[in-house]
Amino acid sequence: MQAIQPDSEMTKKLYDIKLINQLSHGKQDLVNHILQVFIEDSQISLQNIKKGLDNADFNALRQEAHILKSSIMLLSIEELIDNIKEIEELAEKQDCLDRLIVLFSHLESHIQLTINQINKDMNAAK
Amino acid sequence: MSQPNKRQPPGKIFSGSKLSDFADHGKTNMLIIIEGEQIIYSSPLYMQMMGYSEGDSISATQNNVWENIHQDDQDKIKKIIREDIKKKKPYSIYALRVRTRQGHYIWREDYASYQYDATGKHIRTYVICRELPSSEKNEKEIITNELNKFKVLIAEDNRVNMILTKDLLEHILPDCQIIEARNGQEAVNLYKQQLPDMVLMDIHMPEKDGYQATREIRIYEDKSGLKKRPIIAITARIHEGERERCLESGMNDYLPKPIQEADFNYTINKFVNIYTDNNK
Repeated sequence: MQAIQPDSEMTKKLYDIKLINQLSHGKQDLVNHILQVFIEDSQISLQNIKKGLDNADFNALRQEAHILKSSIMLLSIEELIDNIKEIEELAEKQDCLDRLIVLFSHLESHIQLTINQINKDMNAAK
Repeated sequence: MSQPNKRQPPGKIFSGSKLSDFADHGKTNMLIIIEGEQIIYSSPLYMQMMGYSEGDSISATQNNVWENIHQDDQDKIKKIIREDIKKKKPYSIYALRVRTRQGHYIWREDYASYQYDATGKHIRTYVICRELPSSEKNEKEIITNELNKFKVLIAEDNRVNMILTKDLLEHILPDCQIIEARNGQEAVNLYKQQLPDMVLMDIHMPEKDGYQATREIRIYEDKSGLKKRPIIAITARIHEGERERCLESGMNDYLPKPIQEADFNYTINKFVNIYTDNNK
Protein backbone atom coordinates (compact mmCIF):
# COMPACT_ATOMS: atom_id res chain seq x y z
CA MET A 1 0.00 0.00 0.00
CA GLN A 2 2.63 2.52 -1.09
CA ALA A 3 1.23 5.99 -1.73
CA ILE A 4 2.57 8.18 -4.51
CA GLN A 5 4.54 11.02 -3.01
CA PRO A 6 4.54 14.47 -4.51
CA ASP A 7 8.09 15.85 -4.64
CA SER A 8 7.23 18.76 -2.37
CA GLU A 9 6.04 16.37 0.34
CA MET A 10 9.16 14.26 0.10
CA THR A 11 11.48 17.21 0.65
CA LYS A 12 9.60 18.38 3.73
CA LYS A 13 10.51 16.65 7.01
CA LEU A 14 7.31 14.98 8.16
CA TYR A 15 8.49 13.71 11.52
CA ASP A 16 11.09 14.50 14.15
CA ILE A 17 12.92 11.97 16.34
CA LYS A 18 14.44 14.56 18.67
CA LEU A 19 12.28 13.45 21.61
CA ILE A 20 12.89 9.75 20.94
CA ASN A 21 16.62 10.42 20.72
CA GLN A 22 16.50 12.21 24.05
CA LEU A 23 14.50 9.53 25.79
CA SER A 24 16.59 6.69 24.38
CA HIS A 25 19.87 8.45 25.25
CA GLY A 26 20.98 8.35 21.65
CA LYS A 27 20.92 4.55 21.37
CA GLN A 28 20.56 4.16 17.61
CA ASP A 29 19.42 0.52 17.76
CA LEU A 30 16.60 1.48 20.09
CA VAL A 31 15.58 4.45 17.92
CA ASN A 32 15.47 2.22 14.83
CA HIS A 33 13.48 -0.40 16.70
CA ILE A 34 10.95 2.23 17.81
CA LEU A 35 10.60 3.53 14.24
CA GLN A 36 10.11 -0.01 12.96
CA VAL A 37 7.42 -0.66 15.56
CA PHE A 38 5.73 2.62 14.63
CA ILE A 39 5.67 1.59 10.96
CA GLU A 40 4.07 -1.76 11.82
CA ASP A 41 1.62 -0.57 14.45
CA SER A 42 0.44 2.62 12.77
CA GLN A 43 -0.72 0.59 9.79
CA ILE A 44 -2.64 -1.75 12.10
CA SER A 45 -4.17 1.28 13.81
CA LEU A 46 -5.24 2.71 10.43
CA GLN A 47 -6.93 -0.57 9.53
CA ASN A 48 -8.73 -0.66 12.89
CA ILE A 49 -9.84 2.97 12.62
CA LYS A 50 -11.19 2.25 9.14
CA LYS A 51 -13.06 -0.77 10.49
CA GLY A 52 -14.48 1.40 13.26
CA LEU A 53 -15.68 3.95 10.70
CA ASP A 54 -17.19 1.29 8.45
CA ASN A 55 -19.12 -0.20 11.36
CA ALA A 56 -19.78 3.14 13.09
CA ASP A 57 -18.10 1.56 16.13
CA PHE A 58 -17.14 4.75 17.94
CA ASN A 59 -15.61 3.00 20.93
CA ALA A 60 -13.19 1.01 18.79
CA LEU A 61 -12.44 4.12 16.78
CA ARG A 62 -11.70 6.22 19.86
CA GLN A 63 -9.54 3.48 21.35
CA GLU A 64 -7.43 3.10 18.24
CA ALA A 65 -7.14 6.85 17.69
CA HIS A 66 -5.89 7.21 21.25
CA ILE A 67 -3.19 4.57 20.70
CA LEU A 68 -2.06 6.23 17.48
CA LYS A 69 -2.12 9.69 19.07
CA SER A 70 0.68 8.78 21.51
CA SER A 71 2.92 7.65 18.66
CA ILE A 72 2.12 10.69 16.51
CA MET A 73 3.03 12.99 19.39
CA LEU A 74 6.19 11.07 20.15
CA LEU A 75 7.35 11.32 16.55
CA SER A 76 6.24 14.96 16.40
CA ILE A 77 4.21 14.44 13.23
CA GLU A 78 2.97 18.02 13.46
CA GLU A 79 0.61 17.75 10.51
CA LEU A 80 -1.43 15.09 12.31
CA ILE A 81 -1.47 16.15 15.95
CA ASP A 82 -4.67 18.23 15.71
CA ASN A 83 -6.15 15.73 13.27
CA ILE A 84 -5.81 12.74 15.58
CA LYS A 85 -6.98 14.70 18.62
CA GLU A 86 -10.12 15.71 16.72
CA ILE A 87 -10.76 12.12 15.63
CA GLU A 88 -10.49 10.97 19.25
CA GLU A 89 -12.75 13.74 20.53
CA LEU A 90 -15.44 13.24 17.87
CA ALA A 91 -15.36 9.49 18.43
CA GLU A 92 -15.84 10.08 22.13
CA LYS A 93 -18.86 12.28 21.41
CA GLN A 94 -20.07 9.60 18.96
CA ASP A 95 -20.78 12.34 16.46
CA CYS A 96 -19.96 13.72 12.99
CA LEU A 97 -19.26 10.53 11.08
CA ASP A 98 -18.87 12.55 7.86
CA ARG A 99 -16.21 14.73 9.42
CA LEU A 100 -14.48 11.65 10.82
CA ILE A 101 -14.28 10.16 7.33
CA VAL A 102 -12.62 13.33 6.00
CA LEU A 103 -10.19 13.42 8.91
CA PHE A 104 -9.35 9.76 8.47
CA SER A 105 -8.63 10.21 4.79
CA HIS A 106 -6.02 12.85 5.59
CA LEU A 107 -4.63 10.77 8.46
CA GLU A 108 -4.23 7.70 6.28
CA SER A 109 -2.48 9.46 3.42
CA HIS A 110 -0.17 11.46 5.66
CA ILE A 111 0.82 8.45 7.80
CA GLN A 112 1.71 6.65 4.60
CA LEU A 113 3.88 9.55 3.44
CA THR A 114 5.58 9.64 6.83
CA ILE A 115 6.24 5.89 6.75
CA ASN A 116 7.74 6.22 3.30
CA GLN A 117 10.00 8.98 4.52
CA ILE A 118 11.06 6.99 7.61
CA ASN A 119 11.87 3.99 5.42
CA LYS A 120 13.85 6.17 3.07
CA ASP A 121 15.80 7.76 5.94
CA MET A 122 16.50 4.38 7.54
CA ASN A 123 17.75 2.93 4.27
CA ALA A 124 19.95 5.96 3.68
CA ALA A 125 21.48 5.53 7.14
CA LYS A 126 22.41 1.89 6.51
CA MET B 1 41.77 24.58 40.41
CA SER B 2 38.78 23.70 38.26
CA GLN B 3 35.44 24.56 39.75
CA PRO B 4 32.09 22.88 39.19
CA ASN B 5 29.88 24.51 36.58
CA LYS B 6 27.94 27.12 38.51
CA ARG B 7 25.00 26.98 36.12
CA GLN B 8 24.41 23.41 37.19
CA PRO B 9 24.67 23.22 40.96
CA PRO B 10 25.80 19.67 41.68
CA GLY B 11 23.09 19.21 44.27
CA LYS B 12 20.40 19.45 41.62
CA ILE B 13 21.57 16.80 39.24
CA PHE B 14 21.64 13.79 41.49
CA SER B 15 19.11 11.11 40.80
CA GLY B 16 18.83 7.56 41.96
CA SER B 17 17.10 5.32 44.34
CA LYS B 18 19.17 5.87 47.41
CA LEU B 19 19.87 9.57 47.49
CA SER B 20 17.76 10.03 50.61
CA ASP B 21 20.11 7.72 52.48
CA PHE B 22 22.77 10.33 51.94
CA ALA B 23 20.75 13.52 52.01
CA ASP B 24 18.65 12.67 55.06
CA HIS B 25 21.08 10.60 57.01
CA GLY B 26 21.90 13.38 59.42
CA LYS B 27 25.59 13.01 58.68
CA THR B 28 27.88 15.30 56.74
CA ASN B 29 27.77 14.79 52.97
CA MET B 30 30.85 15.48 50.91
CA LEU B 31 31.26 16.06 47.24
CA ILE B 32 33.85 14.98 44.69
CA ILE B 33 33.63 15.73 40.95
CA ILE B 34 35.47 13.51 38.48
CA GLU B 35 36.14 14.08 34.78
CA GLY B 36 37.40 10.94 33.12
CA GLU B 37 39.41 9.55 36.02
CA GLN B 38 40.74 12.90 37.17
CA ILE B 39 39.37 14.54 40.30
CA ILE B 40 38.58 18.15 39.43
CA TYR B 41 36.91 19.20 42.65
CA SER B 42 36.61 18.01 46.22
CA SER B 43 34.61 19.94 48.76
CA PRO B 44 36.10 21.46 51.90
CA LEU B 45 33.90 19.09 53.92
CA TYR B 46 35.55 16.16 52.19
CA MET B 47 38.91 17.54 53.18
CA GLN B 48 37.72 17.84 56.77
CA MET B 49 36.65 14.20 56.78
CA MET B 50 40.11 13.25 55.58
CA GLY B 51 41.65 15.16 58.44
CA TYR B 52 42.82 18.26 56.60
CA SER B 53 42.34 21.70 58.11
CA GLU B 54 41.35 24.90 56.32
CA GLY B 55 44.92 26.09 56.20
CA ASP B 56 46.14 23.08 54.21
CA SER B 57 46.78 23.45 50.53
CA ILE B 58 43.73 22.10 48.76
CA SER B 59 45.44 21.78 45.40
CA ALA B 60 47.99 19.42 46.92
CA THR B 61 45.25 17.24 48.32
CA GLN B 62 43.25 17.07 45.08
CA ASN B 63 45.74 14.58 43.71
CA ASN B 64 45.51 12.44 46.79
CA VAL B 65 41.80 11.62 46.47
CA TRP B 66 42.51 8.50 44.42
CA GLU B 67 45.77 7.72 46.20
CA ASN B 68 44.06 7.73 49.58
CA ILE B 69 41.74 4.94 48.55
CA HIS B 70 42.86 1.57 49.93
CA GLN B 71 44.96 -0.29 47.35
CA ASP B 72 42.57 -3.25 47.35
CA ASP B 73 39.60 -0.96 46.59
CA GLN B 74 41.18 1.53 44.18
CA ASP B 75 41.17 -0.58 41.01
CA LYS B 76 37.82 -2.07 41.95
CA ILE B 77 36.20 1.37 42.19
CA LYS B 78 37.75 2.61 38.95
CA LYS B 79 36.51 -0.56 37.24
CA ILE B 80 32.99 -0.08 38.65
CA ILE B 81 32.89 3.51 37.37
CA ARG B 82 34.29 2.57 33.95
CA GLU B 83 31.77 -0.25 33.50
CA ASP B 84 28.85 1.83 34.78
CA ILE B 85 29.64 4.55 32.25
CA LYS B 86 30.02 1.98 29.49
CA LYS B 87 26.56 0.64 30.34
CA LYS B 88 25.25 4.23 30.65
CA LYS B 89 24.03 3.62 34.17
CA PRO B 90 22.65 6.72 35.92
CA TYR B 91 24.26 6.05 39.29
CA SER B 92 26.16 3.58 41.43
CA ILE B 93 26.50 2.99 45.15
CA TYR B 94 29.57 1.40 46.64
CA ALA B 95 31.62 1.23 49.81
CA LEU B 96 35.39 1.64 50.03
CA ARG B 97 38.20 2.28 52.50
CA VAL B 98 40.11 5.56 52.52
CA ARG B 99 43.22 6.59 54.42
CA THR B 100 42.91 9.81 56.41
CA ARG B 101 45.71 12.34 56.77
CA GLN B 102 46.45 10.80 60.14
CA GLY B 103 47.17 7.52 58.38
CA HIS B 104 44.28 5.33 59.55
CA TYR B 105 41.64 3.85 57.29
CA ILE B 106 37.93 4.67 57.51
CA TRP B 107 35.01 3.15 55.60
CA ARG B 108 33.25 5.48 53.22
CA GLU B 109 30.09 4.98 51.18
CA ASP B 110 29.81 6.73 47.81
CA TYR B 111 26.85 7.64 45.67
CA ALA B 112 28.23 8.27 42.18
CA SER B 113 25.89 10.02 39.76
CA TYR B 114 26.92 9.93 36.11
CA GLN B 115 26.06 12.87 33.89
CA TYR B 116 25.64 12.28 30.13
CA ASP B 117 24.85 14.63 27.30
CA ALA B 118 21.90 14.17 24.90
CA THR B 119 23.95 11.82 22.70
CA GLY B 120 24.75 9.59 25.66
CA LYS B 121 28.37 10.74 25.97
CA HIS B 122 29.60 10.77 29.55
CA ILE B 123 30.50 14.23 30.81
CA ARG B 124 31.22 14.04 34.53
CA THR B 125 30.78 11.91 37.59
CA TYR B 126 29.50 13.57 40.73
CA VAL B 127 30.16 11.66 43.92
CA ILE B 128 28.65 12.36 47.27
CA CYS B 129 30.12 10.38 50.08
CA ARG B 130 29.75 9.83 53.75
CA GLU B 131 31.77 8.14 56.42
CA LEU B 132 30.34 4.73 57.08
CA PRO B 133 30.41 3.39 60.64
CA SER B 134 31.61 -0.20 60.58
CA SER B 135 28.20 -1.38 61.81
CA GLU B 136 26.63 -0.18 58.57
CA LYS B 137 29.10 -1.73 56.16
CA ASN B 138 26.62 -4.29 54.95
CA GLU B 139 23.84 -1.80 54.34
CA LYS B 140 24.81 -1.42 50.69
CA GLU B 141 24.27 -5.10 50.03
CA ILE B 142 20.95 -5.09 51.87
CA ILE B 143 19.57 -2.14 49.92
CA THR B 144 20.91 -3.43 46.61
CA ASN B 145 19.26 -6.77 47.17
CA GLU B 146 15.95 -5.08 47.88
CA LEU B 147 16.21 -3.10 44.66
CA ASN B 148 17.12 -6.21 42.69
CA LYS B 149 13.79 -7.63 43.70
CA PHE B 150 11.94 -4.42 42.86
CA LYS B 151 9.11 -5.29 40.49
CA VAL B 152 7.36 -2.78 38.25
CA LEU B 153 4.17 -3.53 36.35
CA ILE B 154 3.71 -1.43 33.21
CA ALA B 155 0.18 -1.35 31.79
CA GLU B 156 0.39 0.12 28.30
CA ASP B 157 -1.36 -0.72 25.03
CA ASN B 158 0.97 1.22 22.74
CA ARG B 159 4.09 -0.78 21.88
CA VAL B 160 6.21 2.29 21.16
CA ASN B 161 5.40 3.72 24.58
CA MET B 162 6.02 0.36 26.23
CA ILE B 163 9.50 0.11 24.70
CA LEU B 164 10.44 3.63 25.73
CA THR B 165 8.98 3.35 29.23
CA LYS B 166 10.85 0.10 29.82
CA ASP B 167 14.09 1.64 28.62
CA LEU B 168 13.68 4.71 30.84
CA LEU B 169 12.89 2.51 33.81
CA GLU B 170 15.87 0.23 33.22
CA HIS B 171 18.02 3.33 33.05
CA ILE B 172 17.03 4.29 36.60
CA LEU B 173 16.63 0.80 38.04
CA PRO B 174 18.91 -1.45 35.98
CA ASP B 175 18.16 -4.55 38.03
CA CYS B 176 14.42 -4.24 38.49
CA GLN B 177 11.97 -6.80 37.14
CA ILE B 178 9.47 -5.47 34.60
CA ILE B 179 6.06 -7.05 34.08
CA GLU B 180 4.10 -6.02 30.97
CA ALA B 181 0.33 -5.76 30.64
CA ARG B 182 -1.39 -4.80 27.38
CA ASN B 183 -4.74 -3.80 28.83
CA GLY B 184 -6.45 -2.96 32.11
CA GLN B 185 -7.78 -6.45 32.78
CA GLU B 186 -4.36 -7.98 32.23
CA ALA B 187 -2.92 -5.37 34.61
CA VAL B 188 -5.33 -6.41 37.39
CA ASN B 189 -4.65 -10.12 36.81
CA LEU B 190 -0.87 -9.66 36.75
CA TYR B 191 -1.01 -7.45 39.82
CA LYS B 192 -2.73 -10.21 41.79
CA GLN B 193 -0.29 -12.86 40.53
CA GLN B 194 2.97 -10.93 40.83
CA LEU B 195 2.34 -8.27 43.51
CA PRO B 196 4.65 -5.67 41.95
CA ASP B 197 6.18 -2.89 44.03
CA MET B 198 5.02 -0.18 41.65
CA VAL B 199 2.54 0.17 38.78
CA LEU B 200 2.81 2.51 35.80
CA MET B 201 -0.73 2.70 34.47
CA ASP B 202 -1.91 3.97 31.11
CA ILE B 203 -5.43 5.33 31.40
CA HIS B 204 -7.07 4.62 28.11
CA MET B 205 -6.73 0.91 27.45
CA PRO B 206 -8.97 -1.73 25.91
CA GLU B 207 -11.13 -4.08 28.01
CA LYS B 208 -10.65 -2.06 31.17
CA ASP B 209 -9.37 1.49 31.54
CA GLY B 210 -6.69 2.57 34.02
CA TYR B 211 -9.23 4.08 36.44
CA GLN B 212 -11.21 0.87 36.76
CA ALA B 213 -8.08 -1.29 36.92
CA THR B 214 -6.76 0.90 39.75
CA ARG B 215 -10.03 0.73 41.68
CA GLU B 216 -10.00 -3.09 41.43
CA ILE B 217 -6.38 -3.25 42.55
CA ARG B 218 -7.15 -1.03 45.58
CA ILE B 219 -10.15 -3.19 46.53
CA TYR B 220 -7.99 -6.30 46.22
CA GLU B 221 -5.29 -4.75 48.43
CA ASP B 222 -7.88 -3.83 51.08
CA LYS B 223 -9.50 -7.27 51.07
CA SER B 224 -6.16 -9.07 51.17
CA GLY B 225 -4.66 -6.80 53.82
CA LEU B 226 -1.86 -5.80 51.46
CA LYS B 227 0.18 -2.64 51.68
CA LYS B 228 -0.92 -0.16 48.98
CA ARG B 229 1.63 -0.06 46.17
CA PRO B 230 2.22 3.21 44.29
CA ILE B 231 0.23 3.43 41.06
CA ILE B 232 1.37 6.17 38.69
CA ALA B 233 -0.81 7.22 35.76
CA ILE B 234 0.90 7.84 32.44
CA THR B 235 -1.50 9.27 29.93
CA ALA B 236 -1.82 11.31 26.75
CA ARG B 237 -5.37 12.41 27.50
CA ILE B 238 -5.95 16.11 27.57
CA HIS B 239 -9.14 16.51 29.53
CA GLU B 240 -9.31 18.98 32.36
CA GLY B 241 -9.55 17.41 35.77
CA GLU B 242 -7.88 14.22 34.65
CA ARG B 243 -5.23 14.43 37.33
CA GLU B 244 -7.94 14.69 39.98
CA ARG B 245 -9.77 11.75 38.46
CA CYS B 246 -6.61 9.67 38.61
CA LEU B 247 -6.11 10.48 42.28
CA GLU B 248 -9.78 9.80 43.04
CA SER B 249 -9.53 6.34 41.50
CA GLY B 250 -6.68 5.54 43.89
CA MET B 251 -3.57 6.44 41.91
CA ASN B 252 -0.70 8.19 43.68
CA ASP B 253 0.67 10.36 40.91
CA TYR B 254 0.32 11.36 37.29
CA LEU B 255 2.72 11.75 34.36
CA PRO B 256 1.63 13.23 31.01
CA LYS B 257 2.65 11.81 27.63
CA PRO B 258 4.86 12.28 25.76
CA ILE B 259 7.02 11.42 28.75
CA GLN B 260 9.60 13.98 29.84
CA GLU B 261 12.62 12.20 31.24
CA ALA B 262 13.26 14.58 34.14
CA ASP B 263 9.66 14.30 35.38
CA PHE B 264 9.71 10.54 34.91
CA ASN B 265 12.97 10.11 36.85
CA TYR B 266 11.82 12.43 39.63
CA THR B 267 8.51 10.63 40.11
CA ILE B 268 9.93 7.11 39.95
CA ASN B 269 12.76 7.98 42.32
CA LYS B 270 10.33 9.55 44.75
CA PHE B 271 8.42 6.29 45.13
CA VAL B 272 11.51 4.08 45.05
CA ASN B 273 12.93 6.15 47.89
CA ILE B 274 9.77 5.59 49.92
CA TYR B 275 10.02 1.87 49.18
CA THR B 276 13.69 1.78 50.18
CA ASP B 277 13.06 3.69 53.39
CA ASN B 278 10.13 1.43 54.31
CA ASN B 279 12.18 -1.70 53.74
CA LYS B 280 15.18 -0.76 55.85
